[in-house]
Amino acid sequence: MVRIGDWDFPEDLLYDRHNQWIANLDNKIRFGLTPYGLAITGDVLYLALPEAGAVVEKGSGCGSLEAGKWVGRIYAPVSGRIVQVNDEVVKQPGSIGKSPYSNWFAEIEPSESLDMTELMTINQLSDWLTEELKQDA
Amino acid sequence: MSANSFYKTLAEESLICGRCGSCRSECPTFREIGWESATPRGKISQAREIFARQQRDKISPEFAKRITQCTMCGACTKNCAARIDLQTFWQELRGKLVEQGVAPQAYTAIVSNLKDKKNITNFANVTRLDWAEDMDEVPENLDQEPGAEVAYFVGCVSSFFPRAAQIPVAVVQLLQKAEVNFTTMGGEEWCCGFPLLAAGAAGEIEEFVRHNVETIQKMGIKTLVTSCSSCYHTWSHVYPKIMGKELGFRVAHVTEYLAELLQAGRLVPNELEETVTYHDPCDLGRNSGVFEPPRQIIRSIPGITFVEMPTHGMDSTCCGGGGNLQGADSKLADAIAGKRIAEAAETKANILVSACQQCEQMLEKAARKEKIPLQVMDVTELLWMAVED
Repeated sequence: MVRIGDWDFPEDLLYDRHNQWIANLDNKIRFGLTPYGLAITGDVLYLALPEAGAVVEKGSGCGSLEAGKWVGRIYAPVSGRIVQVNDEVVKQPGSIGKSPYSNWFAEIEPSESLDMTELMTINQLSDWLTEELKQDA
Repeated sequence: MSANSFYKTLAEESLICGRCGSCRSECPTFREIGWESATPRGKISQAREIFARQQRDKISPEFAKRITQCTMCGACTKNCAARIDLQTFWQELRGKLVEQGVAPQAYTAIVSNLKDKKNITNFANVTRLDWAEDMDEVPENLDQEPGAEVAYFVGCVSSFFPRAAQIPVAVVQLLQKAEVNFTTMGGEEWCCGFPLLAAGAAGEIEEFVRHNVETIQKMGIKTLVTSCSSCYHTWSHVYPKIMGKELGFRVAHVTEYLAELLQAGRLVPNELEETVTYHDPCDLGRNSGVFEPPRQIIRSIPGITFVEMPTHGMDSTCCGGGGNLQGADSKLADAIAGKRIAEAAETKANILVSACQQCEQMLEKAARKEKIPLQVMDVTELLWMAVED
């Protein structure tokens, strides 16, 4: 785990600029919300995720999350097909608050042209997030 | 400003207060916080010191916090023995927060979104009808259809927040079922502007008012119907004042319109065996005087057992969702909602309905948190359940 600001981030995950973590599993990508993303969102009240089978495009919105008077998009970290949605987190979106890394959103079977170049390693995340936190201070 | 308001300035209004304390008795904020500084009387006292007696220049950090710790529910206005126009007072006091640079970040963010996107989110306004993608078939007449007689003003929350999107889906299906000639403003619908008033940015609302009214007038609409209680209150009470004249078309809350359709036999509900209670939204009930139509809708459904909560109608207790409180102090908002959901649970109802998506969001969250087995929905969703084939 690497500590950045007030939050811990596993070294073996990738990250995007939408405050999502990405796990590269065998033949599929799993993703969810980072603890920093949760901190700026607040208590997640409602989650809308795409259905299994939906085709998603890297960087485009594929769902949304609501927290009080705030609503934001969930973004597909890679292009591909949704193979599984975490129904438990849809039913109990507040569970993300307890464990953002266990309560993932969905799994994507990447399309042939898997492009993960825009995703950040832990070191890249550290640089980016440190800068974000300075700007927000 | 209420119809009987003599409001001139914040300073003059603050001098009227006789310190009777009637405003404290039903203040949901005071019930949670318990300090005099959190009461309407306490806030008026501080405002008097600063703006009427010039004993201090600045709004202190604590006073600034207290000003934002208010849902603008109107319970104080109802109880004020001196008939002070407290709704206008609170709006102007929030304007002072902005003037003195001590408004919370939540206010700045919402005003920034509104100026930029014309809605309370940071999504493009052209996506206002995305909620309709939840429907099996999107009506062809949905987006600024020429010749429509009724315009359905959806409101920002139902347009952009997926949880609340079930409400416009229910409304549209009900209007279709009743064969109403309706449409929406589509991407030309701008926020009603109420969040600007609650965020101390009243000066910014005129642009929104003029745009919305002129668009509706250009569309030749005869009746504007909205499912959001705050939008309804703003359209019916604030818009005519800003335009300086009657709008030239009828403004109705969707419950008023649906009650009329039921009365005319254009919607016929089937039996539903449920026990239902109803939460009066502050902006629809106490602040706008619309109490009966939602109840008429509920009572029109055969098989429903309707139970009132101990505080209802004019005395309804706030859900905690109004006045931008969720953004400024979400814990306080949740605590207020917790008290209201407990009141609903006492009725032994299995469904709690309301007529405001914000109230429903607050109360649903509270029910989940308190593990109360109460289903929360909008009255339009309940009616659709009874009417759909």
